[in-house]
Amino acid sequence: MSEANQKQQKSQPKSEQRNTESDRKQQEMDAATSQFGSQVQDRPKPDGIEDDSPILRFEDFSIFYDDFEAIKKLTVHIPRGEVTSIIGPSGCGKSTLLNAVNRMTDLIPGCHIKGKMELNKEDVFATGMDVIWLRRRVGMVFQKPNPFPKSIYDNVAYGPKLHGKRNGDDLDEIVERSLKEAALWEEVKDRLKANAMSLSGGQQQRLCIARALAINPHMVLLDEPTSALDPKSTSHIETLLGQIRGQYTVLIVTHNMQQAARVSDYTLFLFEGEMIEFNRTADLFVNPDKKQTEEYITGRFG
Amino acid sequence: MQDKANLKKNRKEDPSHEKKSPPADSWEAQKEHELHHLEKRRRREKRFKAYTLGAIFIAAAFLVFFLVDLIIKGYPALKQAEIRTDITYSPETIDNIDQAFPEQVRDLVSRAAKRRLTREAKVAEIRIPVHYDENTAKNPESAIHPIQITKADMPPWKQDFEAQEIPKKQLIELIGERGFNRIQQNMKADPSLAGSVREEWLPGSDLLQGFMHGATDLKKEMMETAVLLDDADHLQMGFDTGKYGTEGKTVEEWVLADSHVDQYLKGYDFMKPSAYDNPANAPISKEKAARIDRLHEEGKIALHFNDYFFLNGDSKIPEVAGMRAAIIGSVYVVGLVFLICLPIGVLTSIYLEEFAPDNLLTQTIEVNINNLAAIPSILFGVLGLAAFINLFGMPRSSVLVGAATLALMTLPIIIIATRAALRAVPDSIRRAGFAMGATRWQVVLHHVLPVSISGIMTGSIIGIAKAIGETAPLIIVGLVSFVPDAPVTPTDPTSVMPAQIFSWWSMSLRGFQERAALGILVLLAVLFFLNGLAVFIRAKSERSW
Repeated sequence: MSEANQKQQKSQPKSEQRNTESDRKQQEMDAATSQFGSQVQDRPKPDGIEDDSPILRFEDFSIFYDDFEAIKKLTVHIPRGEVTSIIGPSGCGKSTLLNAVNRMTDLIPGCHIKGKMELNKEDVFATGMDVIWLRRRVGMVFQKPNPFPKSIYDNVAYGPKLHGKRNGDDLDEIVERSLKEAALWEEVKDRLKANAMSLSGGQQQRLCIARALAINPHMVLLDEPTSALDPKSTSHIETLLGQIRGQYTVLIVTHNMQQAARVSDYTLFLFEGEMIEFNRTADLFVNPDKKQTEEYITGRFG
Repeated sequence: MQDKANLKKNRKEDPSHEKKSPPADSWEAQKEHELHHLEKRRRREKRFKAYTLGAIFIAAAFLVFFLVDLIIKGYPALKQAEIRTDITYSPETIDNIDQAFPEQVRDLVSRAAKRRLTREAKVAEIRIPVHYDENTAKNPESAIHPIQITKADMPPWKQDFEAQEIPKKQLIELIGERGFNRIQQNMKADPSLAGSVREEWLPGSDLLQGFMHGATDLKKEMMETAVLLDDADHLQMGFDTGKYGTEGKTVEEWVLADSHVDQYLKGYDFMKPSAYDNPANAPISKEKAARIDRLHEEGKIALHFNDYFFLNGDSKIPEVAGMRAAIIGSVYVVGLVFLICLPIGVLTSIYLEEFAPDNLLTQTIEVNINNLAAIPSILFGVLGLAAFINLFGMPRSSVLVGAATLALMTLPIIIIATRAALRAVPDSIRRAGFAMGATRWQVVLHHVLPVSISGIMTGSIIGIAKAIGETAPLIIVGLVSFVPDAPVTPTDPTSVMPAQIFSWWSMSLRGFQERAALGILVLLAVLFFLNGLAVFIRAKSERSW
């Protein structure tokens, strides 16, 4: 068992306490969205796995762009049902690593991998793995809001429709549930047929989150979701991350260390493709093991 | 402005002020230097602006000149001279149709109008022995018996002929309703005919009319019978008494005037020194001119809207030549081009843009498509001739071969436009689609095509507009030829608008020249309409992200 996992088990009770604490804080921050908190928490877990086995295991996992090694022999276990943030200076491979989880790296010519990555104990890069099946279980939100140029309703319903849900009532329910989870329902419930492009940037990004949640993913990947947004929209999204924590496993890449500290339970620090440190966020930011981590989080480089 | 003036003055007074000016690091010197420099920049900017304005002005002037010239030349063709005159239809005039018109307009009426009158007044007749009896009034078909054609009936050059019987069925088919009506009328007028056999000239069926007017689409046996009857003097073109009565009648009608009369009325001076070396050769003599003027004042000759231009096909007689066949041909050809090019072009672009790996093969294809778009269009005509006509044996001059050749030319344009439209779709939309678990085909169908369709349509319409105006490749595959009838099937010979303009323009008669100019205006109107449509589609479905 890896070091990271041991740490995770040791600090389990503390984590729960922290969760409720932060939940309360966020509820105060945004009363409008909090009323759906219970609804989110009560649903069964999407993957049906309730134990504490890590959702994502990297074993000696490397990613290459042609000859360049972007991720070097990464070995880490990402805990289930928690928010894990990936931090590091520009070009350290954060986004590459995130894109590898749902194999969006397949779209990049010359990109190949070595080693092993398991999602729910299934080898993601195995030859038998169907990419469409994989992506249907991993939701992804990109740096720049990229809703489809369709209506708000169609944006959210697109995923479920794609995966075989045709029943109008079911779709209505999914759309409402997803928009509530993404804390957007109150703002758009009267104009679901309006074009998604008419929303503000922050609303668009929450719509993208709703779209990712609509397929009931095992895991949600967020690639710097707030870097193109203003502070108010950013705080909205951070609040909603607090809402969905526990229901979904969230992996978030961020440039903003305060954000990582605010929203995540665990933090992975990457530097030039190598994992420097992985620990509970509270521990990593207060008491980093490595000198490099300390230098980075205190802003001495990066 | 004052600064500038000062500066100029300074420089005039002291051309070498740079040297004598205060030390380079002083504020004054720096300011003066900078202002001087700025003034230079401003002058350069003004000059550049003047160049651009000049270029626009020259381009606009060319366009205006071109349009005005065409309108001046083509506008008169919208009117056509017609003559109000008595026309006498009678058995005597049909053999000499000139007699049908009063003497004063006889030489002013169009040949085509005379030909049309002859055609209308005449009817194909068949000579046949009619066996009258009591039943004839009720059942006229019983009065027809098979007839024998013998050697004696045939002309001297067909003496190797063997006697032959024409069956009743075929005769009935040739006589038709009008002929039987005639038999019934005869019987009613004179009941004493019953029991007798009389040779009659009966007006024939539509089939016979068609044969006598030169139709060749008859069934084989019918054709042989008709030719046989014609040789045996059983057929003739007779005066249509059914329509005009046995004595004939006179009607007053507007008929088409000769092209020269038309040109004279539109102001062409046939007597001007440069027109004809010998004024006696002019088609409109002084006497004729005076007569036309007099009739014009009386309102007997007038310029009316030229509906012939839009209702007729091409003709060797300028006053009846029209563009209908060419317009229909163009629409037909271009419609086929669109049907061929759009699916092939769009699918090719989708493959190259969305599916194809970036390797040497696709790069080669890409370079070749770009090169094809730059090839002179006449080479596509050569290719079309070699491939479609010689290799695949498509009929020359046909809609099909024209469309196939133009499709070759249009395809690269559509592919390039479509690829540009596909490339303009932001990658983030594709990535969003993939991340939702869509296959590549679903991403293309659900996200890429809907946002790029306006660009694709715009590019395609512009490609099609280019195909409409294309002449060079069509000359080679034989679409520039005299085709008076509009095509029906894709293998029919056809003419297209630019080809029609080309052939009219090379005619010497002024009537054709005028029609060519009007034809260009019609073509331009079609092109403006198509380009306007492209702009409209683009404006209508513009999206932002």
